[in-house]
Amino acid sequence: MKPGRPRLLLVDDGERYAELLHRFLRDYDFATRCDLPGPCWECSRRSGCTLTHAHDLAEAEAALARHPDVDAVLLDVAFELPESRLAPSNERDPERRRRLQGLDILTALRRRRPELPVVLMTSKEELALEDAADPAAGDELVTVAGADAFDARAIGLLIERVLRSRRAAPAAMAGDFLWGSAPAMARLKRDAAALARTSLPILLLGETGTGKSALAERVIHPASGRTGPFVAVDVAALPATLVAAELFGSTRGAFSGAVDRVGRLEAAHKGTLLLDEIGNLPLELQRMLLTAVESGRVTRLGESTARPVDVKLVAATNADLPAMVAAGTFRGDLYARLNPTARLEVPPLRARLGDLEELIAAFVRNAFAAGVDRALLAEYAAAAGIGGAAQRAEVAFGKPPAEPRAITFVVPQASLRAMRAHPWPGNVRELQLAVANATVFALADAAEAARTGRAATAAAPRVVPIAARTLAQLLAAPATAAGGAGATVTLGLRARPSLNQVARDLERQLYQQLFDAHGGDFEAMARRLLGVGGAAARKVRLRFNQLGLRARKS
Amino acid sequence: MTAKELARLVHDVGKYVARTARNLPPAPTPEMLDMLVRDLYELRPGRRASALFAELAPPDPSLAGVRALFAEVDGLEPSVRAGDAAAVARAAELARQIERTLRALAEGA
Repeated sequence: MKPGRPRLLLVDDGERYAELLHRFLRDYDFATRCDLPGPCWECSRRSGCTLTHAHDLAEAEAALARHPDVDAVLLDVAFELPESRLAPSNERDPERRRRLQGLDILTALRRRRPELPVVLMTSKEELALEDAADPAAGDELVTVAGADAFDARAIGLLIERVLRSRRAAPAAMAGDFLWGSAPAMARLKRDAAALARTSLPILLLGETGTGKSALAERVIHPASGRTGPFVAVDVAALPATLVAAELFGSTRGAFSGAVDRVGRLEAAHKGTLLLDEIGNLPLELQRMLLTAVESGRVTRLGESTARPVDVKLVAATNADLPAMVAAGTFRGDLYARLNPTARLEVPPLRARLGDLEELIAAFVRNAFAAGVDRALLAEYAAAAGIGGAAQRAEVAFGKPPAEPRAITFVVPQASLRAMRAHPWPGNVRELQLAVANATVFALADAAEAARTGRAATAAAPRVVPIAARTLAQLLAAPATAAGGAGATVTLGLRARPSLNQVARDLERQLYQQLFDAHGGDFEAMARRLLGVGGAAARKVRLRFNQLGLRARKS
Repeated sequence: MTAKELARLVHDVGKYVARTARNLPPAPTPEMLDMLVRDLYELRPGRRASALFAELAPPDPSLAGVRALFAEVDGLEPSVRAGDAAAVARAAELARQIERTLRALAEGA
């Protein structure tokens, strides 16, 4: 957060609350839509002015674009607005949309600014009476003001508390990253918060699907306090011929088809640049990147003048960079510049199975909080005659709750045990997909049962059981391209100085994918490669090591 | 009276009628007095808060106390508009009481 007076953005359809806040909260700046200098209360020309705050989502987004340094948002919940000005919503009843408009605005704001603390001008009781979800339940950055909403002194104290807790633990407060309670995640949280606030580059290590990109975007960038944007580049997804122009920018005529283009390094000026899969960066570009990082200047392709850039560099990879340095495919000086001694390692899911239940619950809540899945939930609720509870989805493990308030998916204990035994080669991303698939299938079954008059369960219609066999089938399905019988493997082909190096690179990728797909089980890898297990596993392991790959401990 | 009707009263009437009253200093400035007048007697353009309450409130005996409080608020209008200190203080207290009563009814529903 920036030093000095905190800046607040008020989103309210009326004027009087803004008037009240401007009158009482004089230790704060406000994100107004007015160009006149100075705070509102010192400006005699602003009497009756409506530029003091945002009246709807569009104005809120415009205000945030104008004032990216907003520290907290005060958001009303009920809005008396014409339908054309309401935020997008799955709710069809316009009156209910107006009464709960603030929640739709919150959802939209979260997509753009996940790290921003929001104080909702309502109480949990009022939300419960509307059968609306408590947005603070799944978002630690939301505070419900309750009865204090219109007490300026109480609101002042509340905002002070919100901002103080954000200052004290920026990473913990940032975004919707799911930390869980594993010791390795606690260390990661602490180290990420510490490194984020420095000018040092950050090297993020971890298997595919562990959440490296999310950590960079939702934790490191917000905690860095930098005012520029977060820019991510997946190096592996870019054709080698385009990487240079994409990263460093180009001028018209620099090469065939070149246009004037701002590179991602420049685009991330004053912000954070995530270079995902940095191990895939071609060698010649590694030198250019090193120069840019060391000098703080970048030269567009086709230009001779360097432009200053100030970025927080975050590099992520699941490759073994030291082995690549030893193999000559990654520059040692660039590796050293990435601050490897303070690298952050995101643990694989199999090393934090204690977080399974928390992760599953969060995925279900988030999936059904918005978008298409929320519409499915509403569809089921309508078919089952449930009504407003469709606003929220919860999870129970083992037995269903006696009196569920939300639609509750029940995961059988047997499924939970199977999930704990699963190697999760695709990590948290694989879990998220499995949960999404399982809940959608369960919901479809329950909706069909409700429509045809068959009771989904003997229990209340708010209970939606997830069949153990559904999860078993999902867990048995190949999680990656290399996982199933006869499956194809997708490898990235890159030009190398020799055919030997090309073959070695492809082989490394193959072994890494098989290793990930089989959770580090060399016997299973041997069966896949040689058709036999047993002693063949040693051969596979030996080759794995020769390729410079590293078997991480679970 | 349903819980939803009470929730609506708390939000649309209670919170707004007590907005300035909750923040009124012992010696309010003319601007604060103006805000109080708007909350109590111009909650909607040209309409008193009591009129909005009458429109939204179902004919339920449990709301009789709130109606009485509004009647007293309305009776104070000329004095409050004139800036009479005692009337202003009493009107603010009544407004806060209206909010508290509505909230207690909603929480008990």
